[in-house]
This record gives sequence, C-alpha cells and structure tokens, in this order.
Amino acid sequence: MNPFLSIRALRSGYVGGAVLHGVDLDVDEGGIVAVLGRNGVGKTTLISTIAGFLRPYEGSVTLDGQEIAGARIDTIARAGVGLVPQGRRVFTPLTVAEHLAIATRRPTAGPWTRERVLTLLPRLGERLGHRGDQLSGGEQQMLAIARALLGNPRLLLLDEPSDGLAPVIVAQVGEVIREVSTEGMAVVLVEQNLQLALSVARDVAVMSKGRIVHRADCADFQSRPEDRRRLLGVE
Amino acid sequence: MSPNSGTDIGTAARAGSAARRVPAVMVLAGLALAPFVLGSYAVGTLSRILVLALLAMSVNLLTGLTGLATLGQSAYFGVGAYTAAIVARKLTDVGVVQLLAAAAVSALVATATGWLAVRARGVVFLMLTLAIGEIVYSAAVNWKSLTNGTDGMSGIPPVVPLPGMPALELDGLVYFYVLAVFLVLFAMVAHLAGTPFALALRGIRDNEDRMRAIGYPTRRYALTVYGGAGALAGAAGALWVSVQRFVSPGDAGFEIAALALLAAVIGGSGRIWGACAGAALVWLTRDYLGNLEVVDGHGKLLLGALFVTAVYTLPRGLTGIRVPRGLRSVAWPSRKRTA
Repeated sequence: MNPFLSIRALRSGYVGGAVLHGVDLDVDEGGIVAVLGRNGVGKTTLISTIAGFLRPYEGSVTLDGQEIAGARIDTIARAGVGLVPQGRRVFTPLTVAEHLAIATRRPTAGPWTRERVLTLLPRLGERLGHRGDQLSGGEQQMLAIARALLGNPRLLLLDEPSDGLAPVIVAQVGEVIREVSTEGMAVVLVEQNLQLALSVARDVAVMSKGRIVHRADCADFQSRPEDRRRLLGVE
Repeated sequence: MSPNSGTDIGTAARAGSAARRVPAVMVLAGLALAPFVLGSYAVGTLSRILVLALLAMSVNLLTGLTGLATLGQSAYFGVGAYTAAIVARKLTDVGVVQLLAAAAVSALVATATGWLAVRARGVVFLMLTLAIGEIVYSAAVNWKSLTNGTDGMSGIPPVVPLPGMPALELDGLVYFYVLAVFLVLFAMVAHLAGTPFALALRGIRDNEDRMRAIGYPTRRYALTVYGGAGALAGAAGALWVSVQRFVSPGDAGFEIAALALLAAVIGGSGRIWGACAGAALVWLTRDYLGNLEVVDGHGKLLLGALFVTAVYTLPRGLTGIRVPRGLRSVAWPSRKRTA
C-alpha cells in the first residue's frame, strides 16, 4: 500500500541557505509520526515546506498520490492539509465563535463539524464570545486545533503543540491527537516534549542537520535509551 | 440570584441596545432637518461631506476591514465622476442611471488595476495604489477628447433622481438626493460588515498566511473587496457630479485620496460610522475652520495638526473613544442595570 504522505529527497530552506538536505518521510493513513530532534535541525522548516509556506528547492511531497510540493498554501490546504502552527497564531481580534465561523466557511466533506469539534473541545464552547487574545495558552491551542479540524484535513501537521502549556493541558492535547487519528487522519507531530510525542505517536522520525537520520516505531524507540541519548541527548 | 434576574438582564440588554441607537437616531434627525435650518452654502458643504464619507467608507473597506492601506481610491472616484458627467451630458440626466454606470465602470477599472495591486502588501501596495491614482489623474489631464483636460467638464444638467421626477435645482433638494443615496449605500456596507465575507477579510487583515493555511484564496478575496470598494468610490464620484455639476482632474488627484485616507484613519479603522465622522471632521477642518480669520486660510496646516494630534491621542481613531465610566450613566442612563 502506498503511504498517504510521501516525501522524497526534499530540499528546502530560506534565503540564507538550505535547511533540509534531502528528507525522506512516509506517513500512512491514520498514522501518527512524531518528528523529533534538537533545536535547529529543520523540524519546523519541514512542516512549513509541507504546508506550502516554503517552496522546496527540489524533491517531492505527495498527498494520496497528488503532488503538492511548491503549490500555493491555500491549494495545499484545500487538498487536505491542516496546520496547527507553532505559537498557535490565533486571530487575536476575533472571537472564538468567529474563528469557528471562518474555519467552517470553507468546509470539505468530512466528519468534523462545529458541533463535533465543540464536543471534543468543550472549553471552547464556554468561551465562544471571547477574543483570541483573551484566551489562555491552552485555550488558544485548542482553538488552533479546532480551526484546523474544521477544514476536515486528511493530514494534520502539528508544530510544537505543547509549547508553553501546563502539563494537564498537554495531556488534553495528547488525547485530542489520539482521537483525531482514529478517523483515519494522518498526523505529523513536531514536538520537543518527548513524553507527549511518545505517548501519542506510533512512529518516530529523528532529524539531524536537515535529514531524517532514524526511523523506528515508538515501542522500539522507548526500549532503547541509548538511541534517545545518542540522537536527542535525553534519557 | 432572583428568579427574574434573567428577565431583568434581558430587559437591560434590550434597553442598552436601544440606548446605543439614540445617537444614530439623533444624527439621522439632524441630517434630515439640516436644509430647513442651514443656509445654502452649509447645505452644499453637508452634501460634499456625505460624498467624502462614502469615499472614506470605500477606503475603510480596504484599509480598516482588510488591512490594505490605500491612496488610490481617488482614481475610482474620478472614474465614477467622469462617467457620471459623460452619461449626464450625452445620455440621460437620471441620477440612478449615472450612479449605476459610474459604479459599474469604476468597479471594472478597479478590478483591472487591482489585479496587479492586490499581489502586493504593505508599503508596496500603498505605492501601487498611489501610482494608479497618478495614472488616472494624468489620463484625466491628457485625454482631452474625453475629459476636456484641465478645463474640466461643465454644463452638466441638474440631476433627476428617478425617471419621471423633476430636475433638482436647489441645493437643499440635491442634498436630500445625496442623503438618500448615502443612506442606501451605508446600509449596504453595514450589511456587508456582518457577513462571513467581511469576517474573512478581517482574518486576512489579522493574519493572511493563517487564512491561506485554512484554505482561503486570499488574493481573490482582496481583489473582490478592491473591486467593491472601487464601485463605492465610483458611486461617490457620481454624487459629487450631482452636487458640483462640474468635474476636473483634481477630483481624481492625490489630495482627494489623501483626504479620504485621512478621514478613514482619524475616524478609526474598521468602523463604518468612524469613516463618516472622520470625513466630517476632515472636511469641516479644511473648509470651515481653515477659512476662519484667525487661521488665515491655513486650512491644510490645521489638517496636518489634526492628523498628528489624532495619531498621538486617538490611536484607534474616533471609534476608539470610550466614555469614562463616571459619565456613562449620564450619557446612556437606560444602560444602568436595575436588577
């Protein structure tokens, strides 16, 4: 079976120079891959390139067989890629209700409706009239996830979703990620929080110097502390 | 909590909503009665303020709602004015026809030129719109067979609002025509502000990349609102011709563009009534206060001072002014909760 997301020999970066030097990565339908690595190895660059914010120098990114590398951001989003960006980036002057309205205005067929999202993230239902900048960090993260889900993506990209959140909120984020993957949605999770990453992902891809240098399933990775120490510098 | 507290709060909310309408009703009543208490010059000035308010609203659609600061709306204002003048002189003196023709031609020109402009953002967008304004101004000066060049177009017949109605010769009657069109267009823009389309524009203003990542073709949205704002500016241009019965290249020039942007900024971005209030303040400062003996004709200097003062003291414009808590019960007595 072909992988749902297939990345081959991807080179990408910024004006100053390349950051990704030939990334290969596969994610199956319903699969959750945690992309791990030290700071500056290219994790966010990888997410930004898949989502279309960066145009790759070379290589391919296919989603269910459809080439999306170099396409416009909105085209990639409509092809089925949802993004929960680092730092949440909610629309600060808009209320929660307006966020949900914006996200549902361009729906694609799928299971995620406003009602279902509010059932999954009930805290948002209590804060519908609050502006983005009146929400806590955890609520903003839930809102960013809700915004992505309402587009009914087939691939969800999460960039550091636990960044700056309290442990109890991080656990909730983990539950949400597990829940969405049961619908067959593929998930790429870039995460510094190893505990969260290993608790939700099925596979691990470790990056170093712009390449994927290690692939393993989570159980294997967890059972090999020497790999974690060598690749990530943690036990 | 008392059993009827929900009812009390609901009653208070309705009373608050009604109280907020009071200023609008007062302004409307003032506008309706103005020709009966003001002289001819003041009524003409009011008409011009309403026209500039429409132009400022079109600037506000781009600058306030979408976050695209523009200096090019005078171009579409000028296109609308010349279109209405040509229609009035060669086709019909019916105002509605002039309005529709002006709005359609301006929308067309705005969409064609906006196709290029909306590819840029920030200062580059501002400079492109400035260039578009200058191109239209140059065309108005040099395309003499169509515009009569710097001499402008005169001999425009008095407007007939609708077929079968008499021509409006008196300033007061022209004012009522302008006011009626203004109210219709104001209501249309107010309705637009509550639609999902406007919500998407606010999203683009706040974070365009995020909107694209949700799947919005933001450039298409920007071009649509650019064309719509052009149509509104064109309609304002047609009304300008009905009031002035004259049009010249200056009406499509930089000064009009700057005044409209100034009105939108002083009024406060994002609120329709703010643009209108800003237009009134700008026009009155330039043409009324500026002509007082004490100012000695330095209206533009006064305008500059007003702008600097507004930027420093009202960063959110007139719409950002909040009535101090202690005065709220005086300003809106019925908003005070009784429960």
